[in-house]
Amino acid sequence: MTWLNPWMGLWSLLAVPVILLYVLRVRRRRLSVPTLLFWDEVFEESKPRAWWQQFRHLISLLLQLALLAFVIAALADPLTAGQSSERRLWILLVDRSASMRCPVDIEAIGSGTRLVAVVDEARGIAGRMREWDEAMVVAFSDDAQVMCGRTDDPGSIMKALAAITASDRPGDIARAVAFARSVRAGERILEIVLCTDPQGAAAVEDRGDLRIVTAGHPAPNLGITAFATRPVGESRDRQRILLRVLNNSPTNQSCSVSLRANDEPFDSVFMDLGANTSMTAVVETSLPTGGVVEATFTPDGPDALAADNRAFLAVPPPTPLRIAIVGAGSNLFLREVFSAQPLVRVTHLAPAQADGLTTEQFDVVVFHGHVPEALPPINSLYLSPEQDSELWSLGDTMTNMFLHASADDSPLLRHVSLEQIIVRQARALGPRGGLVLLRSLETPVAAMWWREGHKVLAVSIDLERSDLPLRTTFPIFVANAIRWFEETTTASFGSFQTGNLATLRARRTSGLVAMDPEGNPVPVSETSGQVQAGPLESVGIYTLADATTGDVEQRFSANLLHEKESTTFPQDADALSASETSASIPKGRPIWFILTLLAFALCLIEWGLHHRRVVE
Amino acid sequence: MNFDVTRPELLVLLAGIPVVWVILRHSLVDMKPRQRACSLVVRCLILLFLVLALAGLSVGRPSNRQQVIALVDASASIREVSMAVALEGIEKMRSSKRKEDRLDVIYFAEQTTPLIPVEEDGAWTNGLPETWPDRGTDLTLAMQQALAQLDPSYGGRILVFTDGIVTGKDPASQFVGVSQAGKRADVVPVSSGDQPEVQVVGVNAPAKVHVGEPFPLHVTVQSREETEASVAVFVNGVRSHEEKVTLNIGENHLRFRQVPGDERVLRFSVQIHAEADQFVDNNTGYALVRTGGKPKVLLIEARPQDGKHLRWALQKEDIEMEIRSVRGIPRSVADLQNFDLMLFSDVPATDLTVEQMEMVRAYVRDLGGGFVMLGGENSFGLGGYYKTVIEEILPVRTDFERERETPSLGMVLVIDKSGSMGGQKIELAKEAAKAAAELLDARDQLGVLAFDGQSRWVSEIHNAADRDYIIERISSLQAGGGTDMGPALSAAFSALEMTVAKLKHVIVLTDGHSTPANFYDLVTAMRSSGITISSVGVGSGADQELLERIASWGEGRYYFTSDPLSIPQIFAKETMTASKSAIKESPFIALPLVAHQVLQGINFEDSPFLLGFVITKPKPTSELILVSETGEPLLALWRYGLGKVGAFTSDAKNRWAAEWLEWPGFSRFWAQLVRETMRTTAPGRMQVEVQPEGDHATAYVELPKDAIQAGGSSPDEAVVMRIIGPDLEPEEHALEQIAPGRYGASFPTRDFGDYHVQVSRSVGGQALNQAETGYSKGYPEELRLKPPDHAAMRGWSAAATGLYDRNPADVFLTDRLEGYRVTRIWPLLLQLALLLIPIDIALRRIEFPRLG
Repeated sequence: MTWLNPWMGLWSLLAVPVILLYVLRVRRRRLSVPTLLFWDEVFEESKPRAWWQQFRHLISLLLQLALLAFVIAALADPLTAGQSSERRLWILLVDRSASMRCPVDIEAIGSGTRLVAVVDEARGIAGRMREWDEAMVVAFSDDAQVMCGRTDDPGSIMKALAAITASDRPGDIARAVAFARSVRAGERILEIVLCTDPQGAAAVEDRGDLRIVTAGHPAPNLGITAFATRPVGESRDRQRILLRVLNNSPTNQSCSVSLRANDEPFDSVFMDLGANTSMTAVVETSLPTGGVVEATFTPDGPDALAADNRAFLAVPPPTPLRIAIVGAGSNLFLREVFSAQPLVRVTHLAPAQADGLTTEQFDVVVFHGHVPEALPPINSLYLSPEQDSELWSLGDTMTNMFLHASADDSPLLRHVSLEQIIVRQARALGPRGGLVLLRSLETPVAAMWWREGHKVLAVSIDLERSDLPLRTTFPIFVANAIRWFEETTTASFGSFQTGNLATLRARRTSGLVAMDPEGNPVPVSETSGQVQAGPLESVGIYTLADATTGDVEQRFSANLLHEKESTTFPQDADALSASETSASIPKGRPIWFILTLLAFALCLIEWGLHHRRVVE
Repeated sequence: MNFDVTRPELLVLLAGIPVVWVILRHSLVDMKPRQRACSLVVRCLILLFLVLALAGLSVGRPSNRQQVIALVDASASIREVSMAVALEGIEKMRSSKRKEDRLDVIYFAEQTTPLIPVEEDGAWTNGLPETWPDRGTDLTLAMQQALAQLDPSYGGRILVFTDGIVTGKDPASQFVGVSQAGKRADVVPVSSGDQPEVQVVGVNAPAKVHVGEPFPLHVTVQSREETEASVAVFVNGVRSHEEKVTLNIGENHLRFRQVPGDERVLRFSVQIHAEADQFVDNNTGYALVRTGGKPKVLLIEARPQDGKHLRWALQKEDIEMEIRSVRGIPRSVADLQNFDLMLFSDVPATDLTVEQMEMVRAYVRDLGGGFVMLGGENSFGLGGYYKTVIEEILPVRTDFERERETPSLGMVLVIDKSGSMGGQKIELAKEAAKAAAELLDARDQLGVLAFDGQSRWVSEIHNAADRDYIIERISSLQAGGGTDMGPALSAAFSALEMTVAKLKHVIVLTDGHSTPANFYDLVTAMRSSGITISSVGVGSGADQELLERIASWGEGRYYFTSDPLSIPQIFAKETMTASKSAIKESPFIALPLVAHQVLQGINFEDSPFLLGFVITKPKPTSELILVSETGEPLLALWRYGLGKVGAFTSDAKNRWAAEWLEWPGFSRFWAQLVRETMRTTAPGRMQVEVQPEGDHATAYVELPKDAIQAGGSSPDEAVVMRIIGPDLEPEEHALEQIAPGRYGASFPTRDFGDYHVQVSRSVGGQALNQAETGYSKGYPEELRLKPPDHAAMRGWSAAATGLYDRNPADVFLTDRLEGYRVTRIWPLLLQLALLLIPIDIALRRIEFPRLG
């Protein structure tokens, strides 16, 4: 046995006064009485009858010495041969991903969540920490967050553990473990305690350096794993919605997914799902003013995870595309052809007004002839450009020619017929990068480019000296171009995943607050001209609002949509239960604690024995 | 001051105190009332102290001590400048901190250093290890490490010296976490400095061009100062252009006119060189360009002039064919991607490296290319393809059961087991010998003789039917000793003389110089006895001259290889060649077995004789289309992964197909076979786009509009992406539908080089759409020097309730944060309890008059 504080043994000198006090005879209280007759009788009757009562005095002394010994031994802090006096750094790595919201036992009524169970285990470990040990608390989902830096104070650890909240975020256990392994423990021995659920434990590469605490059992789950939308139709008032549901259970399940738009039901999708299969459905709905689309289902049987039983989409209203036509003349035919497109607002600008155009003013700028010195970082269509730019150089003028497609699979040339179109005049277009769309013989006359955050399309045909604008092909080409530009200006294809930062293109980037579905504030920051909100903790609809007036500027949604997180009944569930714990967590209290507890008990017992005069 | 308990549940033990009082109430002990009360108080105090110690009572009090961790960006892009700014700032902090404060530093790039205390000895200034992974900036990891090291008993603050350019995960959520943990993080912006630097920031070219269509290669070069530089453009590794340019400060746009040849994939690399340049690693940029045009086929032919007949035949059918000798076998996937089909005609496996064979497999399996092997004396089993990855992709097996009338073979393998053959060489030689045992027929005989300074029979000449025994004996072979080949050859000679076999052959393998002996007399004597000898030299240490002579005298074949991995192919080839059983050279008529589009419109009843073929055996799931009159495979096809593979066991030149060359069906047959097996792009193109981001890239696939089903996708639908990266290891990823008609999946791009992406969509196992694209990863993102991202840094410091552009000198002086210092007092409580124990006893044993 090792004593960590052997000098505490000096306290054993206290045994000397204790023994002396017992060696001294107790001086009886002096009391004057008229006769000893009754005393003698009582004294005779109260003579010790049992042999051990002869030693009452000695037993009392021994009990007092034992009490003393327990406390001194506790102070000296002994360790058994199996216990180590090495200094350790414990990392309590607590999984707070969505699957940790599952009940520990889905069959038991009122069963706590897996998170509560593992946090309780972690608290127990913190309570058993030796005082020369240090610990830190790291909560993780898709990202690891240090809740408490390294400290030897169990109270701080307990508080940090209590502060861990459940989330709807997916988990990235490998990243969290990699971080824990990278923590520099210095002179200390690094001990990583991974607190997760069985499938989390199975997902981690165990190199024998993890102590794994798990809670929960494989449980069947139905969950939405994809929910996204895209506008369809030229007027963009209809949405095509993708929905995928996973049945992660060993039996067939069916469910009816209710779809609602702005709280009004518009469709219901019945899904009959085989064991461990997914089913995808695509439905369409009309959303002329945008709004919130919600998919929910109530499972018939046991269902482990609630966060994936619903999904949301915030569909922005189909706002008109703001198009500026920049050119010297009236450009009447251009204005007509663009104005004829649905959901388009056309503005005409003179070249002098075109400097410094931004995405806050216009979604697309059509330059007719005029080419600014520096191409603006905005979706741009250059028709009949008259100058070179950083994206192209103009070559010789060509006359009387036919066109043919160079990239016939491009969405810009969908339904575009180039037969019998005679171009009277065009300039050879020498594109720098990008993709050639149209050519005459081997000479490019139209090309497109994808640049950071915007697109550029250039057509070097002289529209005023061609019959192209008179053909039905031209409005089709313009409609294709508008749709092509729109893909970068309209809403994203779906929603944000929980755990991510929502990067939003707002009309302004300051004075905004974001609220989560429960109305709690979400951190907002500005980055590179965009607004970032998050990380998004829970599933639902979020709002971005004016900080002073509270007017909602934008809504956005967050969904779990994570197949791994919804897989709470892995197909290799049997293997999981076998590999739950790779190394056992040390149990039991330190010896000083047990000795103190014994001292406490002895203190009570000795008091009782003394006052009942069993010992004296 | 606050008190806290870590085990509050143990406070229930305080119930012992009323118990003490109750016991006292019923006490039989006679004590004065006051002394009794004192005794009660002392005993209760003892119990109280014990309970509080058990409950883990601690005392906490606010602390004004500060801990500041300086997080210094030591990534390659700004290391020197950042270090200079940080060292100055840290020095200011050190001089202004109080004695009780802590100042530490962590350097970060791809990884982080341990926490280094800032002390007077200045050790912290040299905190970077010698090998420091600086080709990345993972601020997320650095923030996590710093937060982990902040002691809660101090007011904690992180001071980040950075330019705001990160290559890892967005660290914004870590800064949010800092404020949630009651700490703060300030940012000190660092500019990447003004040292001379020239970098290629972009090489732009059209994703797809037509053959012969001139297009500009647009190169963007950034320079920090006006300078002269030379620019070189390489196309598929060949320098196509070089010129001197004058670079201005900022972005410079250079254009180079390119005219694509008939290669299907053009890999451009642009290199720039300037006299004064901080980093040279960012001076190269890459671009991949695909060309559209006629289908293109590559024929690898042992004698390229023999391929002209096939080329003419295909040209008639508008298929372009390139003929190369075995030396022209592509060495990169990009080169192979130029072709839709590759044909091997009389190409032995010994002329291919293992990597090349694996590349062919990846080309077929993962990139959908076609492959056809034609017959010849160096094809199939005779080419040594037994147990190679090429045999794996072929629809026929190269081993077979020989006919009764073929002559029996007696063969001895004479293997050098000297010390220099140790390790991989001897293991491969053993594998090769085992393969030879497997390839031989039951009527053949095989002996294995090993030699070093002496010779020893590993397995004496045994009937090959006893191959299990032979293989077991071969496994016992160990390397060690000198090299004396003469006695071994003599022993082999003697043994073979005693053997009854029509053909007798010796294969001798060595990697060294043998002790001199009269090899000429020995080998000519062996030859006179009807024994042929082939020799194999391994590595530059082999006596190539002697081995070549031995093969010549012994009328066998000589092989030299510097790659021990090709030893099994050499032995397999030699075994098949020596047994003279794999070739059947007699006129025969090709017989169609099934109606197939390859045979459509061709009347095989009128077809002339073929004069020979290589004997093979069809694999169970292959499609046997043409057979010989005796039923051996002539044409077999099957699908392997994404591609199709054919085996035509006769040839297409004037050896065995001399009469076919004049036949009108020749061109049609070969055109239809080529079209059947070459890579096809199904109608309805998918659009594939690759977006690189850090150490991974995401591929997005747009289905053709007609492929989006209103009711949802079929449960049997699978959209799969195969990626061949620079390591040639194919990776397969299932793409997930992320929106109606749009699929996406990420793949890691840790290595630098070309990534070829092949996407296929199938329903119920039937391929409906295919698309391909490529992405070339150049230098690490870290070396793409950019101006500091002030907006991001402002956002981070705001999220962490810290200051942007914080003056380090003020950090310890203003805005000090409060920590919380906790002291555990259980030892103190136990000592108090100890002190009270004698008092408790004294109160019982001594009568104190004053307490009367």
